[in-house]
Amino acid sequence: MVYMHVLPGLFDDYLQPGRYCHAQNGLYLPYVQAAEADAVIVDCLNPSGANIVTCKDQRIQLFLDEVGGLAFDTAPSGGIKLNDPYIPVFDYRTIELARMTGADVVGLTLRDILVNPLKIGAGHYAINKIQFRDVSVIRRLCSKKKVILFLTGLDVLIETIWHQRVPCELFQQLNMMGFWAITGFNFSVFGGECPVAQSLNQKKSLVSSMLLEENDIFTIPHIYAVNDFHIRKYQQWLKNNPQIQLVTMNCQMQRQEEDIEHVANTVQAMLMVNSKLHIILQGYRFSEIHRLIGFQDRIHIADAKAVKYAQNFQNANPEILTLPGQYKSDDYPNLVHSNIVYRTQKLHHLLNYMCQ
Amino acid sequence: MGSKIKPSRNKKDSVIIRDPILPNSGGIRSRQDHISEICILSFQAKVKELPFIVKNTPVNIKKVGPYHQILVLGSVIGKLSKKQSEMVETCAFLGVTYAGIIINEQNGLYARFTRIVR
Repeated sequence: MVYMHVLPGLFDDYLQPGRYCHAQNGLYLPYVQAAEADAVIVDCLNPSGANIVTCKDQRIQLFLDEVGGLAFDTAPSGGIKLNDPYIPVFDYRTIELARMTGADVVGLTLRDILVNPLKIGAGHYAINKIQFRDVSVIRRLCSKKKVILFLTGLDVLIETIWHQRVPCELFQQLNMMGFWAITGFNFSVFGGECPVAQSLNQKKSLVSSMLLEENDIFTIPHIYAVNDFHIRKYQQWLKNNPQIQLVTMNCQMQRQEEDIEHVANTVQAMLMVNSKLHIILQGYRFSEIHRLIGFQDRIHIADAKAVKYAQNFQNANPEILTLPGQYKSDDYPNLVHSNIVYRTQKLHHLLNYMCQ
Repeated sequence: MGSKIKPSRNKKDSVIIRDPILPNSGGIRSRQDHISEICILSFQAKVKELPFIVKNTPVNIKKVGPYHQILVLGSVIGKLSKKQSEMVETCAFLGVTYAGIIINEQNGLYARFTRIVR
């Protein structure tokens, strides 16, 4: 028996004539507009169920039931308020340094609370196993700082943890770790893909926030819109739920001009709805902060740059030339500290400049 | 993975979305769930270094006895392990095939196979 293998086009499921999205028939109204199907350029036929569940997945109803349908009818009670514009994001290796930093609020991400969760084999990421870090180590940090856990990361990690949330007792573990707040899961939403899948992932994220709250954890809803339909949906959700005064958006993948512009437009559209609403932009570039003029007092940026630079023995301040071998391992804690101070002051300066 | 306005996913970050774990699901599992458990996303096997074998050359596999041979233009250049062969055979019943190409690793040439679900 010979299995035929043709690699070109292996991942290129781009639309061919005659294929369409079920949303086009208005099957998912009022939550997914028929016109959203016009933007589909990747075939909704996804027989392996890779990364998303589309309108053509036979299991779609199972997933809709899991999140209570596509309506944005769920919202946490709010209550979280944030002052610090800059939130340095640490990792598990630097968790002790996080305790000593001058920042009041610090961040960690999902992989930092797990023991070696990922491996890479034959060119793809895979999950090693789900094993939580020692709760006491995380608790020690959380007793000293306000720690936000960002549930962001690779799909393979996020989706596996979500799927296994009950058997691995995710929410109980998170509760014991003592975080100040935890964001909703950042399930992937890509333009050009099935709008039902996009909507499902947006709802899943809101539901994850609700589950956190049900487990007595303060939650920060994660939002992400890839088109105007999504923006209007989130705006309505914020109007219906004025108690929500803090949301977050993962901007780590937005590097091209049109992506950044879209993020800025989305942020402005959200902040216009509620004058008390603040937003944490994870990984948003300082150089693009000017796009958010008029909203500078409600913008917070979380990033790992200060720590990452220090891990590479580099100064985050580009005006300070770092010579090879200039820093020794003993300098590392001071470098983390000075990089955080630099990033904090830089953002402060940029935001103040926008006020003038 | 995050989000973008264009469908530019990281090809290294692929996961089959598995059925929700429900208290009363009755043990009936979908094809995708079976595939996710049995058919790994990708694997690789060492191949001979021959003049006509270069990076990105497509390869075929053919079952001969208990193993699958790796072929390029009809020439046998390697074989899958017993475990890999068993998996490929089981996955074929689930409608899953593996597409292979030659890749160049530090310690020589490999055939890397990637899952295709029909």
